[in-house]
Amino acid sequence: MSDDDDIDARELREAEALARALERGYAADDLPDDALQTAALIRYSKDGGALSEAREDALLEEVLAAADRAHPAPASRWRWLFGALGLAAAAALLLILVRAPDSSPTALPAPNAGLLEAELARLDDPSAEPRFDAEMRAYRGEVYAALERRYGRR
Amino acid sequence: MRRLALALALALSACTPSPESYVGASAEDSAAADRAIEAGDRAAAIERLRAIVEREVPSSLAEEDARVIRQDAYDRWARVALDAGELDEAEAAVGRGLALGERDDVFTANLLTTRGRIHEARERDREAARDYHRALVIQEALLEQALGGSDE
Repeated sequence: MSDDDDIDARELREAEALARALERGYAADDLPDDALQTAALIRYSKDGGALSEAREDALLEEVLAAADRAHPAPASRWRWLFGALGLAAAAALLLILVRAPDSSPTALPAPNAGLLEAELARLDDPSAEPRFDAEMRAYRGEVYAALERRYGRR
Repeated sequence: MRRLALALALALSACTPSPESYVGASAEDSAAADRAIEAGDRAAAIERLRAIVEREVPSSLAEEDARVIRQDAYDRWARVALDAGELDEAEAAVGRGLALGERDDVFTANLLTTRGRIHEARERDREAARDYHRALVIQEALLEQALGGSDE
């Protein structure tokens, strides 16, 4: 087969593809880019690019199907569940923020000299324990009272 | 939906002990332990003191406040055990108390003094002297502050 025969066969295929494109309004894969542009120009000059009614219907169906695929309708049941969970999470966060702990220690009363002297005395003399116990019990009461003033009494 | 959120919020708050109930219950246990000690009821005293240290600490209670309450209970538990000759129990209680953190205050000084007593009972004089000395340093500093404050 000569080069001329080969060129003729290729030109013939392109010409057929061009004819189909002009007839249908769209191109098949075997149409080269320059031929596609040519077909579009010829078609546009002939009918202003207008689509046939059948072609318009087919395109509309394709567009609607593509839109459905891009935005699937959410299941209303899940939407409500996610909404409820979101609201519950917000409520929990609010509760945590409202009840955020103040980490600073309570200003406890300072131990008085009587307690500290009793503490020092019991280091030297175990018989001083009862005095220390009495002083410590009184101080403990002051400490709990300070804590209850801060945190509230039951 | 509002009911669901409210129920969830209430459930969350119910799961977390409140600081007022923690402090109140600890105060009651502490007073009951005092009464039991006076009555010579060692088991009842330890039960109350154990309740204080085992009670769940609310997250909204300041950590230092919880330490004070618990160190005081551990020290009294250790002293009750020491008086009964239960040295292991006493040492364990005082160890757990000091593990909560050592500060320059009465509660840490008390635990150090009690541990010194336990060392003394075990004839560990060197360790006893070390603990007594540390307690003495804290107490002298506190006494100085107390006397200085009263002069002003």
